[in-house]
Amino acid sequence: MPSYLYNVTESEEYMGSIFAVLLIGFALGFFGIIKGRGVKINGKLQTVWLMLLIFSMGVSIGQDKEVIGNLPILGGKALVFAVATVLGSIVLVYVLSKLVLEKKEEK
Amino acid sequence: MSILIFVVLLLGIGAGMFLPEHISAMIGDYSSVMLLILLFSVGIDMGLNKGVFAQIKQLGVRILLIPIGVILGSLAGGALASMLVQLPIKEGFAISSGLGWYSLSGILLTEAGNPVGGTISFLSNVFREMISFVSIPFLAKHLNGYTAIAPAGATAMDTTLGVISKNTDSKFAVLAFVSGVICTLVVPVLVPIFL
Repeated sequence: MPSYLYNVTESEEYMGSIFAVLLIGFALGFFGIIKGRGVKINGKLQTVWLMLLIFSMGVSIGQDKEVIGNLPILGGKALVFAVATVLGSIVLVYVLSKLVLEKKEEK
Repeated sequence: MSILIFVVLLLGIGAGMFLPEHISAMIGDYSSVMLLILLFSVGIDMGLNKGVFAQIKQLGVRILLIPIGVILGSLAGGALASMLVQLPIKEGFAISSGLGWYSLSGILLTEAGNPVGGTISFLSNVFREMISFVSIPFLAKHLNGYTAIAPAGATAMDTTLGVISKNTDSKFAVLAFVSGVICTLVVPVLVPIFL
């Protein structure tokens, strides 16, 4: 089996676990099991989890020899692609939000 | 929040480069656990807003405009980028079709016999995720919630969902998740078209 197919199977399990934790959290919020002070604490903790995630993802990138080793040669080209795709997406979604999505909201 | 995220990201990258390998490998492994804890917390916020599904129902099939805008915008950006760095436009489309899912897009190009394109794709989609982390709070504040979803691409369903949720509201968090899932399903289909 080519490794990218293996990768897809693996990602199905990964998507499953993401759906699962979102759903469990959703149920706790929806049925009022977490309420009042718990909601406030959750909001504060969310910032902590977010920063810890971003820090640990930074660490995985920083220790990745493939990323760091290839940066001097291909980093510039990759950066051009990253900036261009992000800008393209931002412009198009912004236009669509002004033309269609926000208009629908107002009605 | 953009600046805080940028600083934390740089600190993480610095730590990853200079900490002893076994420690940074351990922290890196924890990122998937951190992600699941964060998404659990985001799920709670989504559940609190009882009106969220009514708001989304009102948008109906129009919610598909977000992933469509993300995908077409990325391809347009990929076409422009391939001209700037003088790569064949088809390869530019393949690289930009990664939509931020670096682990898959890089492998797809490499397996198709283009290891250099694979590395560019891998790196550019890593960069896309980092740019998303930093730009989402800014876009949410100065443009709107829909546009804040745009840079994230496929990562809107996992790694960048927390930033989107934190900087917008539960409606946009749900829209982001839907857009991220659609982008994630599209990547394995879209990239091979351009190989």
